[in-house]
Amino acid sequence: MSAAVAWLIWLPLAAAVASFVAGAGRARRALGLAASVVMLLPALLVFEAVRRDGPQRYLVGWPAPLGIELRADLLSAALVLLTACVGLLVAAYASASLTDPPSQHAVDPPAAFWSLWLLLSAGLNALYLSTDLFNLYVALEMVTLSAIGLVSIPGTRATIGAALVYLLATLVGSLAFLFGVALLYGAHGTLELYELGRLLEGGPLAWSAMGLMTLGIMVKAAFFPLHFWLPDAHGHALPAVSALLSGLVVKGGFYLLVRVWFDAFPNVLLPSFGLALGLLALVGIVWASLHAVSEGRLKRLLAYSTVAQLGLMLLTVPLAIAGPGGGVGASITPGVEPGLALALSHGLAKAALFLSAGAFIHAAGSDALSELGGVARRLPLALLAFALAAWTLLGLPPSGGYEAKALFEQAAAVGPIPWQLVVQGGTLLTALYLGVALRAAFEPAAARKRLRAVPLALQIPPLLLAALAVGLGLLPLASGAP
Amino acid sequence: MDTFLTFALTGVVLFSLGLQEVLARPGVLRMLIAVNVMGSGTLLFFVSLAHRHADGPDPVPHALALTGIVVTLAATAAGLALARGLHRLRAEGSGGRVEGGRVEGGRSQGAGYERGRSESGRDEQGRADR
Amino acid sequence: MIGLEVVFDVSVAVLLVVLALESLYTPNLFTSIAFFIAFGLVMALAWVRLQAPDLALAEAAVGAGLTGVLLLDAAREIAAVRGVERTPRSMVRLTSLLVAAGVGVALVAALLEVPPRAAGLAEAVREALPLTAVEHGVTSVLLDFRALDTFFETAVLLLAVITVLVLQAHQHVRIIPWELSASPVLSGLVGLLAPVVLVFSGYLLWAGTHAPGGAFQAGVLLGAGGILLELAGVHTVSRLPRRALRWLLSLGVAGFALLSGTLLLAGRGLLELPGAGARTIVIALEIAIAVSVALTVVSLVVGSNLRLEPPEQEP
Repeated sequence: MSAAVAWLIWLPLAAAVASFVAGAGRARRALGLAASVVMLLPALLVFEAVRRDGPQRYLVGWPAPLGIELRADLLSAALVLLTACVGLLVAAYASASLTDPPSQHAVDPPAAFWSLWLLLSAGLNALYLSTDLFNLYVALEMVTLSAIGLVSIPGTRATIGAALVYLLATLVGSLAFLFGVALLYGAHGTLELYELGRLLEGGPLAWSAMGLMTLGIMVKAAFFPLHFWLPDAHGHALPAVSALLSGLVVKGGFYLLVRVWFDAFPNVLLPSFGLALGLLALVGIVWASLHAVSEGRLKRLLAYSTVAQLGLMLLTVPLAIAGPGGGVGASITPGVEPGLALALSHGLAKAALFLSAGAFIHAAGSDALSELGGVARRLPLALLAFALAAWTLLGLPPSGGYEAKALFEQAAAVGPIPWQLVVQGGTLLTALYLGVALRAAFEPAAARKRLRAVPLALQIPPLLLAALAVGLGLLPLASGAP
Repeated sequence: MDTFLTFALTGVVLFSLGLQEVLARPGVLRMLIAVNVMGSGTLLFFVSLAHRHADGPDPVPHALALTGIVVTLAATAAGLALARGLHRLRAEGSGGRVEGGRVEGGRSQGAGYERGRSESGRDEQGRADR
Repeated sequence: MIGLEVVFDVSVAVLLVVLALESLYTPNLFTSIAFFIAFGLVMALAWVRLQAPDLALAEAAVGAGLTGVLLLDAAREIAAVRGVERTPRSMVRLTSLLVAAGVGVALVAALLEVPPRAAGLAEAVREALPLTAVEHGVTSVLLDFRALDTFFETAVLLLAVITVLVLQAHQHVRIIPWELSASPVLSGLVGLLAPVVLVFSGYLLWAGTHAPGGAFQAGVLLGAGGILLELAGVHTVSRLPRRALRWLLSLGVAGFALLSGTLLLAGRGLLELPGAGARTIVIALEIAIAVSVALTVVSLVVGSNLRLEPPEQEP
């Protein structure tokens, strides 16, 4: 069964090459779509194996510390599954929304979506599975460079500018991460995450390494206050790309933070680190939510909402530090269930929101909130998707978001700091900005405004994603995690 | 001071110098140079660690640094291409301002590649901004 | 008693810092790039001092060579309009100084805690090396012990090239021959250099199995040869059929994918090289990587030297 872990990395890489060299745009699309479907299989297999038998270890070649090992626990398997599900539905949307202009160039921009998306999913899977810090650095670069390529597909000034800022920020972040990795190797002569977790003790070296790696991850994941590049990148990209970025890519950063903090630095962590992170998250939630409320464009509103929701995810870190300590090699690091549940429900819901926003924009021809009038009447399915996703984001029962918030409050109840108040405040703000967006959709259409017809193929993927986000609350996945 | 300490320290200095310059945001090309200086510092530090062994250096940091050089090159090349692309679009005079890496204006959703849209998304954008 | 080696080390280190400072703070952008190239060359010296000849080769080719060319090229285009002077802003400057100084102090504190004598994985590599197909430590790490890194690295290169080509496709650009092609001196020089470059990169590729050198360095050198040819008006890469170009660009990733797919089907680990035939596999992989690196290098340099078609008229 453990070979499925390897297929998760091999399949998207091989498919990316195939779709890159394929001639016609149609062939690339078919390959990309087929690979996205097939990828579900190893993702499900690994998830089932982890649920049944606990963490799965896989040797790429040589055993660590000389070689690189992969490992799937519940945290990684769940995020791999999220990547496969969101990826498939976004691919379906993209396949319906992207044009196939006749091939004119060495690489045609719309067709490049497929190779870039496949390389992105390979990078994300590698990020979730690798236990080698340097390999994680390379995987992180794969993720960000493909994300940057995806953002710049439209080739407009706004997207190229956003991609450039994203690239510069992320380059600094990865070098900070790499310097931290070098420090750890210098001290202990290994790059294996869990081995380092056993060896590392608090001290200037461990703190510096941890600080650098944390800063690097914070830039890459756009955690407040290092989120400055995100609203432009997520707000200007194609809707399908925004869905991938907000739904999946930021989860990669969150995952890496949790993985590194709890598995490489378990003996270095102090409650004050968690407190500092929690306070940053708190300010970030308020700040980003207020921006979202006052934003005049739908996709930028959703992008700011991502920054705010990332804050909520970060809030789970102090809880996990305060929570019961766990042994290395547990099926899931104790205390991160609320964070994982939030990541899963937000991943599905935000992808659904961006895709339904894409459908609205397709109809209205603009993403200015003031131009969205009439779309509610015209696009009932996309509207339903938007509303269901909003339902999840607000944490109303039953939904994945509700489960996540329940877990969160359960964990916060035992701690000294009433973080659950922040969650409740955050929910209020979320209701405010999602209300702004929905109200714009329900406005009557302007007098002579003509809305364009939107094919069902653009409305069904967001609806399915939103349904999954709500359905997450009915699965034993979030609440029944061992 | 032995070779390890000399170059490890140099690595730290280069990393900090580059970081300082990137944070000062002096313009895209200079930021890319600064990032490359940071990268050289990081790799110099990493490889100096391999030199702490009496019977020949540890080849692992060497191999990792080689990968690091390639990755930095790839990112730099992509960054330069983006910078030039942005410059060309600005030279076309489609309005909007770019300052210190922050992009303002520009309203396109990449309409040109969304099915059923006109292929002239950029022109529309230009008009809207003027 | 201060030995000559220490003096040399310290001079290289000081030179590096001085060149970095010059490169970062010189007002003129072109001067700054020139200093950056010099910085790359001195970095190569530092790698030699650290007994890392593989890195010295790569640094000279990439840090000083390729990155320098790409920067100069971009500066030529951008600075013509934007000007070359830098405009520091005092508040931002102060904050950035404080942050960088803080980071620097933390790193020095960390450095003091790094054990001054440690083997890292040197022993482990030495013990396992006879079990691999190659005799050179660095190559065994890159293509056997940590081949997954290299697999991903080829994908990262492909990503960069896709981004560059997407931008190129967008801006309605076409490749224009560089204007140097008229020079008979250059054509003659290229005629002489091309075979030398080819032979030397072949040597580097072959040497990688037992001595410093390897796919990446060979690929960059080959790419430099390709750029020279383009400069001289001999259009190799820019006239390749699109499909062939895509194949060659992805040859490195494709080679890895083919190999690991076969290994997986054979029930082995993703990159668990078989005992028999491993040497052939490694050499084939190196050739594939070198070719795709060379093509990538040429595409990165030539691909950005494009001229805009006049903008289309609005209807």
